[in-house]
Amino acid sequence: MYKLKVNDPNFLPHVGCNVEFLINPGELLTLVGENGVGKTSLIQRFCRENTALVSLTEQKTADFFYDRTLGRIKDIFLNSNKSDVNLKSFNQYWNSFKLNTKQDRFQSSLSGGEAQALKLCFSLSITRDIYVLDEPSQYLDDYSKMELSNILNQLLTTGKAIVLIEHDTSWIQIPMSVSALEIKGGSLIKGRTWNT
Amino acid sequence: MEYLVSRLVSSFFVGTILSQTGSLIQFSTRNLLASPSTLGFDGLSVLWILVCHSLLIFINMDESIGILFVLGVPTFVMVGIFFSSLMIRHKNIEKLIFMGLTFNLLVGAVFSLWQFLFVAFNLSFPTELWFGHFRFSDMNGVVILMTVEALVLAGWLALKNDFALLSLGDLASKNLSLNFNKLYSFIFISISVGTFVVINLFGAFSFMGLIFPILARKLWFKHFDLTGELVFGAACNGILLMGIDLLCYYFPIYGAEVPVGLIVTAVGAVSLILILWKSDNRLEILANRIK
Repeated sequence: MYKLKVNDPNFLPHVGCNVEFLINPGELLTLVGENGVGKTSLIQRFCRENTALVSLTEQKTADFFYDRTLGRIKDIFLNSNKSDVNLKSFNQYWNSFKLNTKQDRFQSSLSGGEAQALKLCFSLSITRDIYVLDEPSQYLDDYSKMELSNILNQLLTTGKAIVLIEHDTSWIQIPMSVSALEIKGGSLIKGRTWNT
Repeated sequence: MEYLVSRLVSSFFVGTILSQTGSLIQFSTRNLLASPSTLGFDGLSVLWILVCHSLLIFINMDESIGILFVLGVPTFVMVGIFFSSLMIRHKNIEKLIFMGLTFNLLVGAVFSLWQFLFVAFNLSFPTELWFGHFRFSDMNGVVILMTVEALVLAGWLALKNDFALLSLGDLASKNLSLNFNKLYSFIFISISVGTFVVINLFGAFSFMGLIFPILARKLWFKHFDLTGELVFGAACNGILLMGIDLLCYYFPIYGAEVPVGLIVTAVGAVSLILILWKSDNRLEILANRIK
């Protein structure tokens, strides 16, 4: 069981300055709440303090300096000599999102959904115990959402924990119950649990 | 002949170092308007040299480049470390650029006032500090420049993988626990010390750190990513500065040599205005819109 906590008196008074929640290996937890309530800020803070444990897929699109083809980006990522990069998973996700058919496309020419898929390939192929995804389905088409759901399912079955910030959970097809934490009235409350 | 060789080599290495410091700063901040000039490193170096120069005069010591170096290099290493921590914590580069430009204006005003007072009291003043030139090049300067260049290249080679990872964006580098402290410290120490060394030896070449990297990137070097920019592009820019300096050397105006720093600053300032003018909106001046 992993405990994620923030204990900082200066952190987001509208969320609370002493927040913690528990998550088990193989568990999917969604974080819900109104817009602007502080979900992203809270989750980014958790991730910043637990980089060895967590891989984060941020909400914003990745910025880039050199305009390169997808093939070149893939080479750089895979040749980064970081032992944390899981080559097999990366190649699998790369093919699942059909990025292998777009190797010659430049980064600046990618659509929102393609850029999102690239971002997901980066963050989900890094070996960590917890994967935090902040609105991962944004811009994705139905096919890609289905692929993402399969990938998340695969991660859960290998014992990884997933924290998801998502307003629309209808695309998640996972044979397990999903529980939600809600930020309301300045604190985290245990929300409902449902079967997908 | 030895003078000309040291002058040519100095101008080449100054062009190379300015191009490299500009590339490093634009790459790490992902902003085309970031440079040693626009972030205030030029102004800080000039101010520091002015203060040291004045102190040396008041304690009746001969002005010595050695003393300025012994005191200056550690100071500017600290400045680099401070700036890297500032970047890691805040990353509001646009605000820092505005502050740096304003600081440069302030130093310009202080420079003029200082010059007025020194001339009034009949004291020596390094007038040409504001516009660099290579008239007093010697082999000592060449050795110092080559050392700085070797350190920049060695650091870059040692951190090549980290640079490659950072170029993929913040997300990949954060998730792979990239050591931002180490990388940013190297980048900003190189920028800070490189700028100080160039200004201390030859004076300021404002805006070159801004325009040279853009020139390098506009050429085909962008396909080599940072390797092309820091090695081939920087070498080309070194040759370009060497060529401009040769023109100044061989074609004096009424017997007086025009400082090469004056020419490149004027060209750089006009280029900066054009870059800003051609940008339709705020985003287009950011590097992630290069196509």
